[in-house]
Amino acid sequence: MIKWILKAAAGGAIAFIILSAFSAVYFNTPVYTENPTGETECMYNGGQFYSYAYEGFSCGFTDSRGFKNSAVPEGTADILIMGSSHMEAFQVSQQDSAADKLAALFGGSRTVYNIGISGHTLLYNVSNLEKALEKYKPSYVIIETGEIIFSDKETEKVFDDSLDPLITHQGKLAMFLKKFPCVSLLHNQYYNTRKTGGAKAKTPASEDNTEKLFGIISRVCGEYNVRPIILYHPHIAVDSDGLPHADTDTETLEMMKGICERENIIFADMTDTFIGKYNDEYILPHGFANTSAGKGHLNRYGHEMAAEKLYEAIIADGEK
Amino acid sequence: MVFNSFVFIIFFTLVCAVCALTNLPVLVKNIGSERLSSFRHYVLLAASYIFYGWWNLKCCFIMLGLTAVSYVSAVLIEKTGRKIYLLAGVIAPLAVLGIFKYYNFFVSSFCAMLGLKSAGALNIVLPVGVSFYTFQSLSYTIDVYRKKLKAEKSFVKLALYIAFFPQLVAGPIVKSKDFLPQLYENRNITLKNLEAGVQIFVFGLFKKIVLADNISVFVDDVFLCPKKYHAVSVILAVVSYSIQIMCDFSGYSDMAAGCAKCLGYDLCRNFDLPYLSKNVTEFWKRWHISLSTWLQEYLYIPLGGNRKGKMRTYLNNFLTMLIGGLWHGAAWTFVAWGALHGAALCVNKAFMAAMGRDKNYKGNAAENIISAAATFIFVSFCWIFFRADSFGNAWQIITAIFTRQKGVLHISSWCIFAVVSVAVGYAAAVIRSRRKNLPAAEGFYPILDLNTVHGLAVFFTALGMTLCLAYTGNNPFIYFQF
Repeated sequence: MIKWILKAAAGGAIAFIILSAFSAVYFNTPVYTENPTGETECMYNGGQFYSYAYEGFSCGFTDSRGFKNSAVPEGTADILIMGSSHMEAFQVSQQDSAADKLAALFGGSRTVYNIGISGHTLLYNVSNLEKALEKYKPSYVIIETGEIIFSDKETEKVFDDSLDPLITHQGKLAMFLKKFPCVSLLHNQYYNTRKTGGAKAKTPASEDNTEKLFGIISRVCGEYNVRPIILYHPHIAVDSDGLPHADTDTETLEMMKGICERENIIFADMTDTFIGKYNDEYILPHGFANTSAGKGHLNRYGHEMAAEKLYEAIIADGEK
Repeated sequence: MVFNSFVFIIFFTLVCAVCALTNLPVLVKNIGSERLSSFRHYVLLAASYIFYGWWNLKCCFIMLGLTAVSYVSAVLIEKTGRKIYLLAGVIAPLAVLGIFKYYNFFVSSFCAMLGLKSAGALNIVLPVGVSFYTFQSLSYTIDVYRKKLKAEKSFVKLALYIAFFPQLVAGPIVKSKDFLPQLYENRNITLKNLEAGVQIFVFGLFKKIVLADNISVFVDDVFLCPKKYHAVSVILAVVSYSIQIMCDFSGYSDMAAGCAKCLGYDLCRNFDLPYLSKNVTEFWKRWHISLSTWLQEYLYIPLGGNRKGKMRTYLNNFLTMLIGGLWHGAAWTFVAWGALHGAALCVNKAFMAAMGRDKNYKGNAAENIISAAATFIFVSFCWIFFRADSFGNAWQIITAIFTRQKGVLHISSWCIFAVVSVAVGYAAAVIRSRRKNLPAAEGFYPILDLNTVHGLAVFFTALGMTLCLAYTGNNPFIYFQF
């Protein structure tokens, strides 16, 4: 029996090495750490290798500051991108990300820096906005969001600086184990099986609270003389007749657009662009070959369209 | 409780542990192996009812009632030889099927035909696996009447045959003459059985949760909204569904066989590389073998089989497949699926007769490849009706393909992976079986020696890969609905 246990241990060790090698390519995301400078809640270790084929595919290294960029500008950046996992863009190669595409469109005349990172919804980005502007001193700040419905309760947490921390739920042991891609992948699989149902339907925040939230963006940007841009990218659903429509709450969207206009915030709404792309070329902005078409994160077409929209918005704003 | 759940793993471990305890020499010496064997039957029967009751406790009473009817009618058939008891033993399971599975379907179809508002529908739940255990109970009664089997004197043994949890809810449909004799042998958990059983289970698990479930995301999307997708994507979805249903169902059959093997029992092989079939007749000898042999033995042959002339043979084939289609589900799409297969069987038989070929005919390599490809295309086409929610849905899929519909060109990498995996698996099985002179299906199951580091490393890697690549959403086995 002892002999068999030893054999099993040896077999298990070999299997662990093989699975780790596989996971190093398939699911090897960098490990989060708390961001001491506060422009985001968390960040990655600088120069860390990543490879991700769980949804889409990309591989490379995080930049020296712990974000996902081709290059780190010396000192400040002309255009700063804040956002969620969509902007983090682990699902597409670096050169296909909106940040790189936007930089390419400017042909090197403006530096673009992306601090988009998983879990950072609009609320977190508003909460961290001042520190981000203080650090990067951009001319434009882009705040990406795929979601426009935040409850009053969530929104009020921004006002009294009490948003739930994003990484403190992970203990030291969990963080240590996550350094092993194979364990990290199995943990992720287990976590996904525990998920039940979809997200609960939320009641949108009141107009007062939304106005107050966008007021913060306007005020902070005003203090730092920065032009704010909200990049909104809804999911595009296709009905049984093959017709596309944005999966969005039109009333809230119109309310947000109105507030942005009053607060002098550029609102880059991707809805029409996305629907036009589907109508012309049957291309959806979200989803990958290894996931559902139209669901999940922005794909390379989505990033490309977002970059073009942002470029147009900045050029148009400059012309004013 | 499904095989690919944590609850089942705990449940099965407990059942195995209790059964394994009866292997203890001290117990064998003091109690005797025969009594311990009976004790195991009680344990397995209780476990089977717990397994079934996990879905719906009330359904256990249906199964118990059916078992009682089969038991009594078989004993009376043996005692008196009167047909009336056979009728009772046949009508009871058919009535259960009729009420729970087909009543609402026929009522709504009848009302729709007459343009009436659907009335008289029953608000009942379809018991999971009812089609499987009613067929098992039918085969038992008929076999006793045909004197192929003696009436089972032990109610527990008969109840265990009908309710044996590994094959209870989605087959294979075990015949009484294959299973009941095993209950008279001293079968129990052994290391050898565990070694084989666990590997067959993991193999089935891989097919289900890695291949079938990951493909299902794409297939479901396409069948939900065919107009969204490009014709190429729709074709890929149809091909993928062929792979999905095979991996899903044969995966379940493997898991069932694996569980049974762990407990010391052998279940029949349900699939034999079906997509290598060179014609539809051969396909039905390789696909869902337990159902096709059941239909042949208890429906086709009693209808007259091929003994009453050419036309009657065709008609019997067609009717058998039509009923086989309806067995799968109470919907006209299933009937259409059965009718297509029935018609294809007739055409195949007529073609063979016209060409003067018998069933042992072996063509050359090119002929075989073309025949296998054509059979696969036909079978895949038929699956459209099987998978579609309605004829309208099936028509959308067909028109999308033949009108070369424009739309989202989504080439799912999971589907490509699954197609390649199955192709590689088939090739490996054929090569392995030829080398070892085994039937092709036997070559499909790589039974490793888990007493070596190499065997253990491969097994742990396969298990790890299965867990790493598993689809983590909720996706029940397709055949549970039948």
